[in-house]
Formats: sequence, C-alpha cells, structure tokens
Amino acid sequence: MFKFKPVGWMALLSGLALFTLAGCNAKPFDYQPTAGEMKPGPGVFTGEEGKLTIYDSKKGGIFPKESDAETSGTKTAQTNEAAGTTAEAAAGSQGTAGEFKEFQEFQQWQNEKAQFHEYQQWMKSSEGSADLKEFQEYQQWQKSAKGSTDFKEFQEYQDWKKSGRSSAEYKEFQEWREFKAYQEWKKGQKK
Amino acid sequence: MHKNIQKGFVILVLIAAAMLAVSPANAVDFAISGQIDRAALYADDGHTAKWFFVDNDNSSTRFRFSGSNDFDQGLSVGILWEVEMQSNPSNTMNMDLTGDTTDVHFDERKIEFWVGSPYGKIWLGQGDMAGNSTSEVDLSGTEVAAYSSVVDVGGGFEFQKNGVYDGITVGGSRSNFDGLSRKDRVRYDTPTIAGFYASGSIGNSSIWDTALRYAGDFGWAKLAAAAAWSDYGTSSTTNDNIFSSSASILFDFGLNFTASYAYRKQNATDPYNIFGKVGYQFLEKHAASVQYSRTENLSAKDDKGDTFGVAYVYSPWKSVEFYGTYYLYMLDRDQGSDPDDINVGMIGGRVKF
Repeated sequence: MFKFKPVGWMALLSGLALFTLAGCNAKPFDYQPTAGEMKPGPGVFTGEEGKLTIYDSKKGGIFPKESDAETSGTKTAQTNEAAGTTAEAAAGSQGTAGEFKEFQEFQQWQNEKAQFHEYQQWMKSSEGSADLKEFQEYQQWQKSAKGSTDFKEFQEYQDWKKSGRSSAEYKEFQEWREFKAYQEWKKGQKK
Repeated sequence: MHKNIQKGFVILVLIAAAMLAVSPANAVDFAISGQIDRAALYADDGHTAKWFFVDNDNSSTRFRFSGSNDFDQGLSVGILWEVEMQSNPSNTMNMDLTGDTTDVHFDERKIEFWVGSPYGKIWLGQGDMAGNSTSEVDLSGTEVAAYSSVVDVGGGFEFQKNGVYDGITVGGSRSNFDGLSRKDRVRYDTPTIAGFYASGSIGNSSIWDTALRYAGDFGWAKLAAAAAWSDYGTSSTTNDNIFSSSASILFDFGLNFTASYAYRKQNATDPYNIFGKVGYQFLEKHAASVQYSRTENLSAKDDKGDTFGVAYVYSPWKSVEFYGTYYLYMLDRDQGSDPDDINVGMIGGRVKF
C-alpha cells in the first residue's frame, strides 16, 4: 500500500516540531507512560490515591485512604471554622492538623486499650451500672446544653467516620472516647 | 564495558550508602496497589474461529509494592516491586489451545530501588530501560484497548491459507520495536528542564540505551513525545540496535493524534514499523480511536504486516474501565501467496483495586 523507507525523517520532524513548540510558553506536565502500564488514578478499594498506604509518616494513619483523609480534613476544618475555636485554621493547615489529631487520639486509644477493656469489665458490674446511668444522664445534659448545631455537626462527623472505618473498630474507638469523657467527668466529681 | 558497569554499580552503592548515612529520614510511605484486567476475545483466522477468555496483555493483571523515604536536602530513596500474574495472556492465545494455559505464575516486571536528588534520579534493579515505552507515547485514553503494540492482543495467532498454517504468527510479523523493554540495569534520568529530560541505562551483556522525552501543556493541547537509541551489545547475534520514537497530542476538546516510528538494525532485513492513531475523548467518560500500523521486513525481507484497529473505552468510574477493540491483522508476503487475514475482537474490563 505505502512505501516507507527506514530513515529518521519522522524523528527529525518530530524533534523540530518539539523544539518549536517548546518555545511557545508550554508548561511541563508530568506525563507517565500509560500504554502497557498499570492504570493510573483511583482504585476501587484504595480511594483517590489508588494505593493502600500501609505506612505514611506524614499522614500519620494506618491504612488511611486519601479520599477519606481529605474528607476528614475538610469536615474537621469546617467544624472548627464554624465554632471559631481553632488555631490550626489560622495556620492554614486544618486538614493535616485534623488528621494528625485524630491519629494521636487513635494512638492513645491503642496505648490505653488494656485499661479501656478493664473499664468495660467494670461497667458490667453493678457499681459500674449505677455510675454509668449517671454518666449517660450527664452526657444527655451536655448535648442539650451545647445546643443542636454542635450535635448536628457531631452526627455528620460520625457518619463520615462510619464510612471510612470498619464498624467494629470504630465502635470500640467511640466507646473509648466515651470512656475518656467519663474519666474527665469522674475527675470533676472528685473535686 | 563490563568493568565500567561494575565500577558504576560500586559508585552507585557508595552514593546511596552515603545518602542514607548523612541524612535523617523525615517522611516515609509504603503502599500496595494493583489491577485486574480480564476480557473475552473472539478470533477468526479464516479457517477456525474461537472464543477465548483472557488476561488483556495490553495492561496485564498485576500488583505492586512501592515505598519511598524523603530525606533532607531534596534527597529521596524509593523501592518498586511489581509482578504480574496472567491466566491466558491475550498475546499467547492460538487455535491449538484447548482449555486454559496451565503454567500460571508470577512474572517479574519491576524489582528496583531508586535514589532521587535535585540532580536527577538513579535506578538500580530490574525495571524499564531508558528506551522502554518510547514507541508507546499515547494520550488517546484508549491504550488499554489498543495502542502501538498491536501484538499484545492477538500476537499468538498463526496465519493460514486453505487450512495450511505457514508458521508465521501475528507476533512474528509485526512489532513496534519499543527499545529493550525491562532488564536488570542501572539507569539515570536527568532533572526535567522546560519539559525535557534525558535518560541512559546499561544492562547485562553490554546492552545500553539513551532516550529523550518531552511533555508540555500548551493550555489548548498537551503534547508528549519520546525517542531512544538502544544497543543490543553482545546479547544478540542477529540484532544490532533499535531506534524508537513516538509522539502524541491531545487537544483540549478531546481530539488526539498519535504516531510512532521505529526500526531495528538486524542481519539482512532491518525491519521497521510505522504507526498512526486518531482518537477522540468525549463526555468525560468516553474515548474512541482508530489506528493503522505497518511493520515491514520482520517475518521475511519485504513482507508487510499491516494492522487496522478500532478501540473504545468507557470509564464509568475513575477506578473502572470497560473496553472493546477490534483488530484486523494482514500479512502481505513477498514470496508466495498471501495468507488469510485474522480478525480479532475483544471486550473486557480493567479494575484497579
């Protein structure tokens, strides 16, 4: 059909075209070969980042997903801004700071896991049950005192957490948070 | 050459060790990723027609471990370990096959580490030679279905005439001569300057290559291009060297053009390949393309292996693609009569996990 000769004319023309176009204020972009390579971009189970991050010293999470982390950062930032309470917002690093704070909480939970399990056992006892009832009433009072806006945000936050974590682990983590709140309350009682 | 390679290796190890010794780590990550790419393939060689259920060799099923560690002063070290596992690779299917291929196993693709710095990047291990993929630059968005390596889909099918198979396969009559593929090597990439960067690599049996790449965004279009010169060293008694090149432009309204030209200096034949593709990306999730390629002098002097291809890719979600492709493989023999054309159609999906 066609008669091509194995000469470098095409490469030469391409090269000339490239150098000409390179002078036209083109911005470099990060082209990664796609033909024959693994699909770039998000993954079904690994979120926007497209990879399951087992360890990341910057993001500070175990098995974090980029999409969740981003959502976390945004929501946390929104909550903080609405409350007008955070110094992190002023620093312009709400997302990262929020994620890191959560990670620190997670690490603390892991460290105090054994103590928490003791607490759970104690809760099953009769003494625990009486105290628990009082504690739950205290929590109800807190919610009503704080008003509905905060509670709504809290619920949104919980919804987000449920979508990003396995339910069993998340439940235990929430229980641990309640436990920490309980500890604070107990301290207040002693005073 | 061997001594030079050994010296280069020792120097690289010393540099890497020095970097690790003097710089405290300040960011580390380690991740797993992978994909499944399966398809149904129908082939008709003019005498026999069959269905096959295959792993699409355009972008095979695989997974990888990757990690990196950032250090002070712009230094970083990373690892990449990528393996593929294909059951019924699309490029090895043939009409004699009954049932599935049996020897399913992990195949190494990349097992390497790299050291990055403001002065460039050094790679050591099994991985891309500098010239790998320089025939395959493609911005069409249909690469998973069809690209310049047309043998990845139906490369194992054999041409026939009146039921007599002549021993020449699709893969034996055409190639995009894409450099030296992946090898155990040491490679260096320069920093990117105005969209350009150069690479060079050296491997066993004195193979070596050098490449130049460009990627620029003009606002109204993106352009990517690459060219490489690869030398077989003492690894081949028939092949001397390869020149490979390709370029692709994608306009902001979706139209795209891709071309590739490559040749191999080879005893008495000097085969070459030319490839062209026109594509269109539309409605954000759709991409379609038409392509044509010719390899001359590969199966025999003055034989012409022409290939016509059509591809369509639908990406309902970013992590999932469904595709369909059709290839018409033709062989124009210089000596003797031409065999029948081979028609291959394939539909499938690629899911990244």
